[in-house]
Order: sequence, then C-alpha cells, then structure tokens
Amino acid sequence: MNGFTIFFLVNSDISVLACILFSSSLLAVLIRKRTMGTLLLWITFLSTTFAEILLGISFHLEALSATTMTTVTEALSYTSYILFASNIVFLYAFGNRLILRDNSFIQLVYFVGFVFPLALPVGLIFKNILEFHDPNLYTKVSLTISNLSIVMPVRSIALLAIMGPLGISAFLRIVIKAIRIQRGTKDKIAKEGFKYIWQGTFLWYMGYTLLFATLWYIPVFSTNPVLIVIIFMVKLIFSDIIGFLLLYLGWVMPDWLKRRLGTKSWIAKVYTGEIKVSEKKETTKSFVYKQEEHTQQQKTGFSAVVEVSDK
Amino acid sequence: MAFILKLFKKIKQSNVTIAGLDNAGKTAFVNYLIKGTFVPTVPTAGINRETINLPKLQLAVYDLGGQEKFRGLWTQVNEKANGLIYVIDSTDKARFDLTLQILYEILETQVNELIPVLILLHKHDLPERIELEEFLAKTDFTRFNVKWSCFETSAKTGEGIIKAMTWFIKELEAQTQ
Repeated sequence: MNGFTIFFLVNSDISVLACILFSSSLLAVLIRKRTMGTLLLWITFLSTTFAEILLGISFHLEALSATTMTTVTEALSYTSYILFASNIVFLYAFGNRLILRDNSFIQLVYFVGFVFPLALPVGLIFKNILEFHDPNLYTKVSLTISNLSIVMPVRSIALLAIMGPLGISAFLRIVIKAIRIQRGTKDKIAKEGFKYIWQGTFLWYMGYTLLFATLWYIPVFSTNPVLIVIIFMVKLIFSDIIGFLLLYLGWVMPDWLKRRLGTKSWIAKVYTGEIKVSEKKETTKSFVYKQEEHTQQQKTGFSAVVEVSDK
Repeated sequence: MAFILKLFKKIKQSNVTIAGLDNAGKTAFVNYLIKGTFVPTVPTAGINRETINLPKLQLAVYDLGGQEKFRGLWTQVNEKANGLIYVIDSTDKARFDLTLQILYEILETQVNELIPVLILLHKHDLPERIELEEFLAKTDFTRFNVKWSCFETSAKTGEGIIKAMTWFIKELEAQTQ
C-alpha cells in the first residue's frame, strides 16, 4: 500500500465521517420539524452519505485485497456513482420547492431528464457485472501511483453527458434565483439563509461535477497523480464539508447562528463608533461608586461617598 | 473562508438581567438599546431575551417582567447574571421605598458579589422626579461588595443611556478578561 492509496483511504474516511455528521444532524432536525424541505435535503445528505460509504468500502476492499478490482468492489463503486448522480434529482427537488417553484411541466421535464438516464443503466450495469465482464462496457480510471482504480461504464458516461446540461441549467437557475431573492429580502436572517443555500448548492454541485468531469473526460487528470489528489481534496472540502455545512446552516438556521447574525443593535453601533450620536446638551447626572475611595474614606471616618457629575 | 472562521470565532458571553418594578421602563430601555428610538411597550409577561453583539462580548439581556406575579422568576435568572441593570421609575415616589427594598434584596440574596450593578433613575424627561442627589442620600450600598453606579436616563429622549451603558459594558469587559 503506497502513500497515494493511503491518501484516498483517508480522504474517503473523512468524507464518510463528514456526511454521517451532517446527515444525523439533519435527521435530528427532521424529527423535530417534519417539513418537506427538510426531508428533501435530508434525502440528499443521506444519499451522498451512502454513496460515500459504498465508495469508501470499495476503496478499502481494493487496497486490502488485491490490485485488481473484484465484482464486489465494482458493484460498490458503480452503486456509489449512481447515488452521487441521483443526488442531483434530490437537490433539484429541494431547490425547486424552496427557490425555483417551477410549474409541473418544467418539473416533469427535469425529473424525466434526470431519472431516465439514471434508471436505464442501473439494471444493465448489474446484469453485466453479475454475468460477465464486457470490456466494451467499462472504462477503468486507474489512480496513477495508487493501487486503486475507479470504474465507470461507458454507457453511464454517455448518459451523464446528457445529464450535464440539465444539471447545470437547474443548478444555475437555483443559484441565480436565490441571489435575486437574497437581494430582495430585507430580513437579515433570511438574507443570510438564502446566501448560504445558494453558496452551498454551488459548492456541492461544483465539487462533484469537477470530480466526474475531470476524471472521466480529461485524460490528463486520471493519469497525473497530483491532479487527482487535488481533485479529490476539492471534492472533499467543497462538497462534503463546506457545501453541506452551508446547506445545513442556511436551511436549519440554528439559534446560535441567528444570534450571531442578528442585526447590530443601536448601542453596539454607538459603542463601536459606527454611528455618531449628536452631541446635544444632556441634563442627566450620574454617580460612579469607586471602591478604593470608599475604603479610604471609611478609614478616615467619612460616612458617605458622593461624587456627582453634572453635565 | 473568512465567513467560516467568523462562525467559529469564540466570543465571550455575559448574562445581563434588567430588573425593576412594573412600569419602570425596563422594556422601553431595552428597546432603546436595540433600536435607538423610543418604542411604546406593553407590560412584559415573564421574561424577554434579547442579544446585543459587541466586538468583544455578546450580551444576553434578560428583561424581567416587573409585576409581582413574575418576581418569583427573578432569582434563577439573577443567580446566573454577570451584570445587573436595575431600573427605577424616578417619578414613582409612592413606591420608592418598595423598589429600594427589592433592589437590596436582589443584591443581598440573588446576585453574585463583584458583578457590576447599573442603577437607572429612569424617566428623566418627566417632571416631579427624584433627583440623583436625593436618591443617593436615601440609599446606602456600602454593605454590598458590588461595583455600582447610578445614572439618570430617559428612553424617550435617549439622554444618559450611552453614558450609562458605556460604563456598564466596560465593567463587563473588564470582568470577562
């Protein structure tokens, strides 16, 4: 097992942990507040978590057993990529419910566009895996200098290429509309919520798209070990950690975040010098008790300390 | 990235309770701190919580309902307080002794020693009020080991509020350091 293999194993373990953390946190919210939006977001998180777990298991099995892929690791690998791709459907459903609000016809176009290309190869892929290995159906992406490899059926690559334009159009629309809503909202908390949601959606989509696009379509990325490592790191940080964190925070808006984001109070603005209060003549008086003076005066026998400042 | 770091930046929190008799102007004072203007209020039922974010400190402000039926709730909140603001209606001469008695009781039995105590002689904009000198002559806080100060304030005109809060915030900041 070389250093690159260890990198992929650790990377996948961190992804799994991050996904489990966010999925379970969102599940707790879902149990408390049973809303459709939370459910859709949770399904997206859960599906990603399963995908990461399956991919992680396939990597570990590969690293531990042999340098060639077995039927089991291939099946795990395929399933995880299909789950990754199917997340597009769930995240679109979430974004549509909250932001896009497409009419039934457009929704149908998107769902058919997403689900059909996904559903078709699933059966064929598993049929092929179980029966025999047809080299024409698979493209192996070997992770150079690492004794791991990713497999992807040619058929799925072609179908994902069709899904690409649909995915990009859906997520660009979500991001653009969320920015518009964010700009038009006066409430600071809601404004921040929409900002986190579009940023999270953008990062999540960008991380996975970058991974798929570079590994499958740009040969230099699947042969250059440094580039592969960078791509996997980007996917881990942007999609699995920051993307999910922003989506979670934007949708759930925990109380501690609301308190943090709360509009700055007048006294805070005055205290920090952000606003200047006109120096009008005040007639109020004040008294500040000074303990040291009090102690001293008690010793000298004075009974009271009165220091009145009149401004 | 700065946003992520900002989210996890540790900010110290101070619990501040605002106590006083009913109709003393506690909620109006809190509203002035938040909005910078006078906002008409209704009697507070129970406890209201507001948050004031300052650069080094986050104030969790507990506005305690002043009516007699809610005063039983004060003890629990006051015990955890890092600072106390006690609001006295300077025009309510009839209940002056009662409000002093309650303040003494809070200082004696409810709040932690050494916390800053800000006493506000509120409703300074109205006539027929108790002046600061008169208040000081009638009170004796020397037996309490607290840092205290007294300011004349008004939530209608905003007079005295900045001075009072500046002193109070500085004391809280010094306490948390």
